Amino acid sequence: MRAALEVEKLSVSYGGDPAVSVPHLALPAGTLAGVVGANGAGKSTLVNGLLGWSRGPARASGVVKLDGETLNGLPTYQRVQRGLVLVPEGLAVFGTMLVEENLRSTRPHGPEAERRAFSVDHVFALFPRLAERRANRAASLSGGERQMLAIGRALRLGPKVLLLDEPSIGLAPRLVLTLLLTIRKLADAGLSVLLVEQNVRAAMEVVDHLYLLERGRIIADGPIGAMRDDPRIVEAYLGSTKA
Amino acid sequence: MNVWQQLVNGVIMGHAYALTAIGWTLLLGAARLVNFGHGQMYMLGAFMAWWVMHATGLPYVAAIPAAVLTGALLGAVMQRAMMRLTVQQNLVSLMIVTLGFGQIVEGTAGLAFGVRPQMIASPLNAWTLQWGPVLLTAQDIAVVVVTIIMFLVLRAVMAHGLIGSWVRMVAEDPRLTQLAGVNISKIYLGIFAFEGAAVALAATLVAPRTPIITSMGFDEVIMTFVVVVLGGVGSVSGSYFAGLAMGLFSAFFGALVGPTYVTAAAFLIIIPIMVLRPGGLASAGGLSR
Amino acid sequence: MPARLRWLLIAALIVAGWFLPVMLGGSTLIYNTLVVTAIFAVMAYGQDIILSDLGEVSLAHTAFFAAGAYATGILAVNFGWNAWATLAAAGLCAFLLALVVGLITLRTREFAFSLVTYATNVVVYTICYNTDLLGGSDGFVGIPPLDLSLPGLRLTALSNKDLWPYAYVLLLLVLYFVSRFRRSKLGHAALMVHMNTPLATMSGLDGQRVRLSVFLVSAPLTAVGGWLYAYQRAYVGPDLFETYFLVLMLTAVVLVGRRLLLGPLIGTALLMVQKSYLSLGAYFDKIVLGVVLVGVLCLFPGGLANLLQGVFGRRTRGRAAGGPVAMEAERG
Repeated sequence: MRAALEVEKLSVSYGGDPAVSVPHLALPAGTLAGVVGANGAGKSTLVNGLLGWSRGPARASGVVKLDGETLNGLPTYQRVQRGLVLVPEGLAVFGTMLVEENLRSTRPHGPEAERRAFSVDHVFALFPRLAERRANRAASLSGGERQMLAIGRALRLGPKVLLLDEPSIGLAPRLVLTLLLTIRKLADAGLSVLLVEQNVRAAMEVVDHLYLLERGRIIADGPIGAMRDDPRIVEAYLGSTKA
Repeated sequence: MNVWQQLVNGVIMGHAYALTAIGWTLLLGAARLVNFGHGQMYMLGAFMAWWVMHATGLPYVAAIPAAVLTGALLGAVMQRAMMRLTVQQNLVSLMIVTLGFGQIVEGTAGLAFGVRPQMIASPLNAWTLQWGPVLLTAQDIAVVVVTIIMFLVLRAVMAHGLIGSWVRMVAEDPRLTQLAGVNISKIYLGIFAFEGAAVALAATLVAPRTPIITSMGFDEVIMTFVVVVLGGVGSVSGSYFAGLAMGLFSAFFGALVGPTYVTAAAFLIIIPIMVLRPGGLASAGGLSR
Repeated sequence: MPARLRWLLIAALIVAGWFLPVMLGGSTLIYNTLVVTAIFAVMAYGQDIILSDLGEVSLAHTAFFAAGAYATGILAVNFGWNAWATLAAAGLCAFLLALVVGLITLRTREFAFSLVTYATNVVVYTICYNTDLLGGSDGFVGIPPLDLSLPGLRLTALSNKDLWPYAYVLLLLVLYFVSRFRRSKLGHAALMVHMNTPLATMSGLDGQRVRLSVFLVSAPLTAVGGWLYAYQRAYVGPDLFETYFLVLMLTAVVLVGRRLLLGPLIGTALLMVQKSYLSLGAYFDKIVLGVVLVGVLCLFPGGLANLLQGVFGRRTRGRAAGGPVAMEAERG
């Protein structure tokens, strides 16, 4: 079965050693995979690179395939139109617009995407808190509500593959779990998701497959069952919380 | 001093300033782009109108769309050249490029249209009306009417409709807009084409009142800049009221003190604003209705 | 390259430069072109410091250039001041103007800074154009020839040929000044503020003071160009405020490449050569200037130096805030 997202020999460098070097990564359709690693491991560079974006002048090479279709050479907005949607780290909503406006003005492109896309009401059904705040300016939302809106906007685009860059940053722990469980629900419903997360424990609760990124390279990956006991994961990230 | 006349003059001039500034406001608010070629584009709009009437014998009403289309085309061409810089938000280089384009337009116009001052023979200019103690022309009325329509239309487009949303999205966060699958290059092209069209429209309506010369354009940019600063960067309705305020100021200051120092005085007024509210000018994007 | 050899080479170049007009034929046009090149290069170096080091565009430098020229013209014609005195006055005039503008723009950045500096140009122009004391629309004619004579030493210039040594020496002084500036504390501070303002602040630099200081240093530099221009042209008028000079300055700075010591000089030289030898009139020159400026910034922002580097090796991409990166697909 064709992978929803396939990456081959991806390399992104800002002059010098590659910041990211991934020989192969495949995301099977309808699964939720996590990419974890410490700060500076290259997680954001990786997902940004998939969309053809970099934070500075960079050289990139490699092949990115979305549902079998090569995306190379396409500008960012066209990759989004084909169904590769990224919810970037940090502010991913239009603060000056109202919540409802944010959702309404983000629309799917093309009949295929329209079929997959969530309607505005559907988004409100998924995130009732947003429905309550529909007439508020997005900038006045709390951190958790803004993340919900960001994800809601992404769903409005009818993604084939959803990339999430650290959605849990700045959120209270209880909120983090709720958010990730919602993402799990979406994956169960058929959406392919690549979740980049710093909060390894929370990510491990919901993912099917886990990639461990260090200095831009995947040093371990596997199904969550196996990875849970992987000493590198346990040692590096859970040690501090155990005591 | 005929107070009523000055009042009416002020209102008319105010609308002229606002119309000249409308494209610049949008460009600055939505793309953070300062167009220093604005004055030369104004001059080109005026001369296109003159030339169309002079060379082809077409009437004034036909010259207006011709000038507006040329302006839109010029704006689109400029933006196309600057696209990479715009996406990178390299503001310093963008400003310099617009200065360069200004020179190109000025030189080309000089070669094409010559050095002699010309007059746009608008029939509306000749049609005068006496309203109590006030004297005005149909041209003046046209300026006011068109300006009001333009502002209302722009306000409506910005507030409702997808295009307005896109412009406001691009104004706030170009990268996030791309991530929403929107082709921001097209949006920028549209915005700059609007600037070109708007300034040309302003020229065709306002320039018939005085002789035009290819070295002009300087003055037009000056007042535009004052209006935009006063009205708040990116605020469309702000620039309307600021235009009006500057128009009234110009009329009364000109009548009481003399016309030559109007622009210098206008600047001296906004300097305290710039000192006290520097953030207001350099504030991150955002377009308000 | 060993230091000794370097100094020898520089000395040789300096001597060669002195004899350049003679080597190129010694015609009036040559002298004119070279003198004007030197003057406009000096003008451009003032802008260069602001643009290359501070990273902003100052549209007020036309006003500084004009201020230098006007101060010279007025004081020489109306009060008979000698060239040394007018030189000092030119520098002081520009410095004071820059102080006023600098304080106003203390907290502004990028386009706000440029808009205010543009405003300066307009205000000063309006004042000069409309004040008879300052020449009005006619300006000042009859500026006496340059006379830098000291007791016992006659130093006058009656023609472009005579002016060349003075223009050349001035250019060398400016080059030396700029190179020293770039190695000075202020020069380094300027660069830090340009490249990474938050980091600079955290290193103890007061961004505003640095910017103001750089601005105050650059204004007299440009004004000195105006000083010599007044003597060369023997006439100062409001045409000195035209955007043409601004565009000329900017093109000279960006054409060859940022922060290259000889960049603005070579840039100015190329543009003046075009004006003298490949011109089809003033309007044509304007178009050429505009096209060059737009072309360089849009097509190869690193300037000619970068372009040549690209021909021989890997080209360094211009500074980008973040943007699309082309993925080079690899087969197999």
